[in-house]
Amino acid sequence: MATPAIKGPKRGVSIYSYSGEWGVTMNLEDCFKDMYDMGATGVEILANGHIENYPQPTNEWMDNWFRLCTKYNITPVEYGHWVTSRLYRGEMELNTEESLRMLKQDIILAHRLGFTVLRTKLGVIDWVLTPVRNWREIILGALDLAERYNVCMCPEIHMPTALSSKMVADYVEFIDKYQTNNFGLNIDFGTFQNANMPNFPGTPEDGSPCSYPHELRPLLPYIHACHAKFNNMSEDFQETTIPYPEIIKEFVDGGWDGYFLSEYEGPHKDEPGFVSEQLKRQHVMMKRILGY
Amino acid sequence: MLEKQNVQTRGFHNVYDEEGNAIGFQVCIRSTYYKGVWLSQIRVGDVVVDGEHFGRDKQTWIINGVEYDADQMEKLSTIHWHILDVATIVVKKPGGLAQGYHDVEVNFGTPGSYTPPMFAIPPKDKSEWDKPFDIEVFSKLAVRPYKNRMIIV
Repeated sequence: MATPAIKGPKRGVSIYSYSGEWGVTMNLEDCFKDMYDMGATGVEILANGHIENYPQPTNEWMDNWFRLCTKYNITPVEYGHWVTSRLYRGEMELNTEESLRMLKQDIILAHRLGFTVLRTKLGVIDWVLTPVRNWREIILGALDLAERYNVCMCPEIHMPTALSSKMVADYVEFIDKYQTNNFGLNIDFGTFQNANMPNFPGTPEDGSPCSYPHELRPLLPYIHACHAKFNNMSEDFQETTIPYPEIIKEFVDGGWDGYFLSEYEGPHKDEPGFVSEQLKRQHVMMKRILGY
Repeated sequence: MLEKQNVQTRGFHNVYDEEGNAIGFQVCIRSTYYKGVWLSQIRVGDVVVDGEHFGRDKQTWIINGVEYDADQMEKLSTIHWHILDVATIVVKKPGGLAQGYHDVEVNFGTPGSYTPPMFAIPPKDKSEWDKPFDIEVFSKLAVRPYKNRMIIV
């Protein structure tokens, strides 16, 4: 498995970006080839989207997974998965026992595939994305297993959630209380979005972002991976809706070490080649800002 | 590979009993969502062909080679419908469909759990955003129509 030498922010890609072409015009190896071209060294997959026969992949699939990681010099970074709370008709939340069954299954599979960070999606109960009421019991119940398998469960902080929100404060309080390295945060850069895209629905309507880059600094020790969300890369390699230079500066100045996993969220996802070009533009931008 | 649109042209044909009588038809769909779902998350609506409705009691779904009816699927929370697998919907219709073009509409969906109800519009008043969702809204909004115009040979 490739071991990146750089300490600091590293460039990776979430296969989510390719979801408009996935299975129609691109397969897993096509995505890895693309990532190799742009010099990305880390990957996020979505368990429920990209692992064939999930949650029981075949040995052939596993072999192919490791072959691709080696061939294209890709480190498995983040394993996206869901604790599906609305699993049954008419039920808003899932009991802790069944939530844990799902979560533990993913911890073990993520470890088998070489991942160290889990993007753990908990169910939400309202428009500000407040997590299910039993989230503390669910995470507590899985901490031992996560430690044994050396993975960190990270909920994603995604707009409209702000860095300065009760949700983030609650997560930080939990991490401090249990002094755990197996629960942390994934920050989605969409929370810094400060402009709408032309002809494409998005937030914020009034142009004010949910969060500001300077708010990252105290949170850096809790962040284990980021979704380098982007919506629109111009031909001169600028992201027109999210302030990348300011965001990246916070991570670099704070001495943060980890992966930015590109997540394309703009239009034309199903036009062959469109997302690949957007990703390459974004990686040119990140490479220029980082200096490597 | 999959066809881009949700309702696949491949796999659309009449089905026959052992004596060769057409007893219905089948239509294949894929999920154009970006992730697979557990069978208990699938909400089955009507299949509509040229305006004729076939309810969930007239359908069975074949996923990974196993045939289920809608009620069975809603109880199966450990079996996963992967996004690269087409589901074959078998519809009971004595005599099958006539030769030629048909406007086919498949209604189904899944209520997400980590987002607000899909296709719901957030309350204008932001002070209402931290009020819990109405669970009924999820199932209602989840079911969407997917259409294709296809030929029975």
